[in-house]
Amino acid sequence: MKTVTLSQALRERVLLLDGAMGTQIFAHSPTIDDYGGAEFDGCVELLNERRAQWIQGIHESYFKAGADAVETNTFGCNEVVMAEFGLQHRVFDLNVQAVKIARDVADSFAEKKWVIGSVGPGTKLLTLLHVDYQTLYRSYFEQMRGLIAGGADAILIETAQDLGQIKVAVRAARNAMLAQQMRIPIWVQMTIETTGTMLVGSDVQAALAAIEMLGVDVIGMNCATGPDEMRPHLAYLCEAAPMMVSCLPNAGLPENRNGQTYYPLDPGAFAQRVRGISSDFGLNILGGCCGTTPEHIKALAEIRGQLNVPVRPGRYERSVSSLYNSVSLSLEPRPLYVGERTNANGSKAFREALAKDDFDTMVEIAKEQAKEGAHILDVCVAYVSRDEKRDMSEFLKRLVTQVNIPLMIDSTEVPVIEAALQYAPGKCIVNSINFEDGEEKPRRILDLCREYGAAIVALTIDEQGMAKTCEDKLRIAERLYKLVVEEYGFAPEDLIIDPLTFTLGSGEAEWRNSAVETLNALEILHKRYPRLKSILGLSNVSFGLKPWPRQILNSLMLYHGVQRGLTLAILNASKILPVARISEDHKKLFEALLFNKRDEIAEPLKEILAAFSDPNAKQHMAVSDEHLSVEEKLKNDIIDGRKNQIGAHALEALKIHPPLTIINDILLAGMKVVGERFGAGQMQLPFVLESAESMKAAVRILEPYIEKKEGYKKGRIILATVKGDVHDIGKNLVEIILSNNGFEVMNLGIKQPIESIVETYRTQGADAIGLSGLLVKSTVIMKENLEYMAAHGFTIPVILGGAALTRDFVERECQAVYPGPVFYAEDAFSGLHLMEKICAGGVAELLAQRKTPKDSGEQKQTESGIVVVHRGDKRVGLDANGQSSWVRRDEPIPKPPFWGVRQVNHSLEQVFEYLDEFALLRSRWGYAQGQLSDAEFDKVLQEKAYPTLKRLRERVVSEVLLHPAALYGYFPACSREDNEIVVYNPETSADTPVHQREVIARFSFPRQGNGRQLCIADFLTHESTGKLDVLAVQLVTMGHVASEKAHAAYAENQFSEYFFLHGLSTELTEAYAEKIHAQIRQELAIHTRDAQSKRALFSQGYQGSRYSFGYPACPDMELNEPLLKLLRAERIGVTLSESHQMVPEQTTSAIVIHHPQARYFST
Amino acid sequence: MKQQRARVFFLLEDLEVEVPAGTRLPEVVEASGADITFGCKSGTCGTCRVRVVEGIENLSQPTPEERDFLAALSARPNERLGCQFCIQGDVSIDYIGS
Repeated sequence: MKTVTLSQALRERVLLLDGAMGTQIFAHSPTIDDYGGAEFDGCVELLNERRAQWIQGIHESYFKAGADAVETNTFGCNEVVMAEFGLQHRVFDLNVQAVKIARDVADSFAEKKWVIGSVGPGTKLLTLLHVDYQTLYRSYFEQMRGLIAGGADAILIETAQDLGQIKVAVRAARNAMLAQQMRIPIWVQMTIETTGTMLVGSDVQAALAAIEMLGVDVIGMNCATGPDEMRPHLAYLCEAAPMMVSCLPNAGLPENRNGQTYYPLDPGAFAQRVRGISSDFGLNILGGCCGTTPEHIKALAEIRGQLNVPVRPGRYERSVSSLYNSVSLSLEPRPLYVGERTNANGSKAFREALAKDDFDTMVEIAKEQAKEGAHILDVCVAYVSRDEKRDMSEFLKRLVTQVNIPLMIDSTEVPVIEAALQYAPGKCIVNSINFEDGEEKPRRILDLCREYGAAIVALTIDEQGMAKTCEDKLRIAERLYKLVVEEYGFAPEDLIIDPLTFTLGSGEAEWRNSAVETLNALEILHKRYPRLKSILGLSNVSFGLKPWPRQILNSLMLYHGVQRGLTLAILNASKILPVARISEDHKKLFEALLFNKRDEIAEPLKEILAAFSDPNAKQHMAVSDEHLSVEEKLKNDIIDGRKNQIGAHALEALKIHPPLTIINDILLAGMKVVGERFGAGQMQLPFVLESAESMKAAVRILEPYIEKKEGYKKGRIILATVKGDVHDIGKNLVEIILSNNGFEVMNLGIKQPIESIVETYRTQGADAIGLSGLLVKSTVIMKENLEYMAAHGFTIPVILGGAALTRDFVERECQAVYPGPVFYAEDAFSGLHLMEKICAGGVAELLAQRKTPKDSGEQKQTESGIVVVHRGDKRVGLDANGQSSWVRRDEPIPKPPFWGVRQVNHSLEQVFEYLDEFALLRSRWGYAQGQLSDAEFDKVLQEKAYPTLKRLRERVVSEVLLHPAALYGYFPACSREDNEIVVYNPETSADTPVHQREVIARFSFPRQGNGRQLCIADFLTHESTGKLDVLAVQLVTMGHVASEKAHAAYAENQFSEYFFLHGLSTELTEAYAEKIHAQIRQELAIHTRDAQSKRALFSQGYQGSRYSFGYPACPDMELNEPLLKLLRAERIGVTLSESHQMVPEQTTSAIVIHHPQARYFST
Repeated sequence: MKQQRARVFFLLEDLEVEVPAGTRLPEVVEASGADITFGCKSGTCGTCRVRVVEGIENLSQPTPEERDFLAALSARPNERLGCQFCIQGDVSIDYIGS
């Protein structure tokens, strides 16, 4: 027999592994007797000893199917898992036995066969702190010892769900090999869920960055999904990974069929898909995971002949990674920003939090920096008289799941660095080594970097001290390169040289040339070693100066560093100015200091100190329109919303024109421009409101001069929010726009019955009536109102507006019941357009316009021309309980930490964390980009939107306008027939059968008529199963003060303030609901699926759903009554109005469902 | 003038609908009862995120809001916000919200 090693075989052919082990074992239907006692029920590793012949038979069937290698039956054979059966002391023996069983079968074949030691993820996740590092390390070390002693040909760390766990397992394997003085390959396979990430959230790029650094022989994927779902991740691995790639998918994405897990791909289909991936991208090792059988392996054996051994391009761009994401060390545009405020020596706030053991605040500081644009986070907890190692571990344990940017471990203490590397799951950077005390210490730190997989920052310091000259910097850098790259074998990209920065702020002659030396060294270094990276602690350069000159000097140093190749910069990203924003004079002055150029400016530092004696001085230029005529000034005041100067300009204009001419010909002409710009998408709503405020201010100045008050208005409208609806923002916007465009508006307010609306019309008269409302129910009320008006003989034009309306509904259904014209206004400006036409006798023209689209086109199947061509029979059936069979019934039911309801209070700052700024700015505040260019819109955001948010945030905090209060809790619940959720009394003893429990609330929901036929109730266990499910409930309110303040602003004609305050408090109510929901997921331990970015989180990036009444899946607002009763809502001052809306306005309630398939849907 | 027509195929439920070119997706969904849910309809909530399996070139260009929203979400290139586009030619659509 020709002796071929596994590595040789891998170079010569595509290697074939086996398929599922568990499925094959359970086909024997093991009994308690097989396991050797009830306490061992389910411990399949024991079967290596008690039913060895089964395991032999399974291995044999895979070898016969064509496998080159089989995996041992040791998936869970580590101390942590075996301790659950009290068998932790058997780990070594059972691993040895399992390898021997497989080895005996392998050796019985004529051709060479191999045995791969299987190492599963265990039952506890390190990164989520289910287990501590040392316990998990020992657990794996023992297993690795057994596998190696038994004679495995390779170690396969598979089904890996956590980067932290992979790092522990690889280290345990290496150390076990060292102890037994042998070396076998280490393979790693991760499991990527259908969400596109590993269970704890790492994407494939982050995983590759961390795993590549561990020097393993194979990287690959297995479990969770089938070949199709793995395809995009494998495409990346095959392209990027420098090592071999394996692929062991499930037999398709598991489905639930009648309560059984079913794998849809038969052997032929499975093999074709794997072949497709392999021929497209190139795989080295094939095999199967859950649901695959010897027949699947046989099918793979048949297609294997068609596949070539791939050449790995290894186009991986060297990166560092957090638990979640990777960041390329070659990212352009340079530099990578390294956040400097999670540093006990650099940030006062961080140091104070550390002194109080306030790790939550420390995590907040970290998150802020990520938000401000840092790519990497420098973490330093060294502080006198504290235990740095403990502080580092405790901080990182909390931090690593909370930030998505990679970490730079900033410490010079070897034990601290090691503790940090154990708890940081991705590929970190260690900061730093130097030669101050010779080479022993840097070598110890480099050993750690190699063992745990980290890049390194190296300072140009040697036994003679810090390198000040370019020459010394280069000499020490070369020595560092030799040690790290040539001797230790690090990739040059993983060596980051810091050529040191010294302050220019002291004025001492010794340091005047220091920036020049550093910049020159950078330039030469990058030319000499093109792959090497560099870093500067940027803010050192300006130490001793005042804040504003510091910003300028830091920004210039950064600019010139980047010009010379600088890769990373430790700095506060929010304090960097684009060089273009620095004035030429300042640039000249500061560059004289930076480059030590004293020919023109003899004493640059002195001049800087003199010029910036006022620390916050920032020059700005006022825009002048002094040369314009007063008419043009007034018009511009309107367009630009300048309400402070418009009064003076109006009085000036009065000397020339009568007041009505000013209003009609100048001011309204300005408003017309505003309307046009808004319509063209060039101007956002908040600016329109400022224009309206200016208009109002001017008119108030002019009105006393108007002799004949009547008749200068263009027309009159009666406005009201309909009965049962409390929403008035839309209606008030209409009032603002109409009244400031020359119309008289009679705003009757909210919850207006039709009787009082027509009474106003009868007594006061008007050109039109405008009805508004937000609720779906309000659309029905509007139609009823029209029927009432028709019955009472009215024909006055009616304009309808509101979020739930559609043009079709208004122009067909509403128009059908009313003899007068009914118009749809999609926003305030279309309301203005309608009023202009109506008051100019253009009703017929308006009606004619809307008829045209209907008549065009040849098909007239429906009004809209939309025809269903084919409705397939994919309608999902209902099961015996009348529920959608699309919904899986065997999802695990989480355990709540308590039953019943609790009250919680959070600070406004905590609520702000969950604020969806995008929705606030773009939707609620109307800062939509429209037709503006990216640059123009960015200017709007930077100069207007964000400053407004900052100001309002300060206002609501300092004036205490919002009072967050919340109730939430958990109730035992089930679903029943008739689409109902029933909630049981939580105080019933645990052994009471479900159907005998006291029902304390019921919620009934509609079911979809087509598609998946979903109903919210389907996501809870059915009562007939006898299994209780968990229904979480929540209620948040921001109190009533904000609404009152907003209305006060409206009354005082501060339209934009009213609009901003209303939008912010509404969005913060949502934010608070989001926060409480996050807490519920955490308490139910289903938060591991929470998306990392807030953007993704706000788009339902989590397990389960939060349903509020009034939305499409549960439109019935009356359900708030039983819900508020369950919550005892009056405790936080929340009550229901007669139309089942909650008071105060800024309140929202919800039921929370944990089922993973529960998403938003429409009924 | 003969109006151009386009076909929209909803994969989730094997539903095919013919619409006048230029129709917005929410109108198609409302008229045909397709299983897609909308939230804010202003491109800021993501409830209506869909995967365009075929014919993405037959949809109107993303608005800046949609572009920024999807970018912040690191969405794949074949994902769109259902509330933000018009149908200009044949497309196959799969709902991601499910």
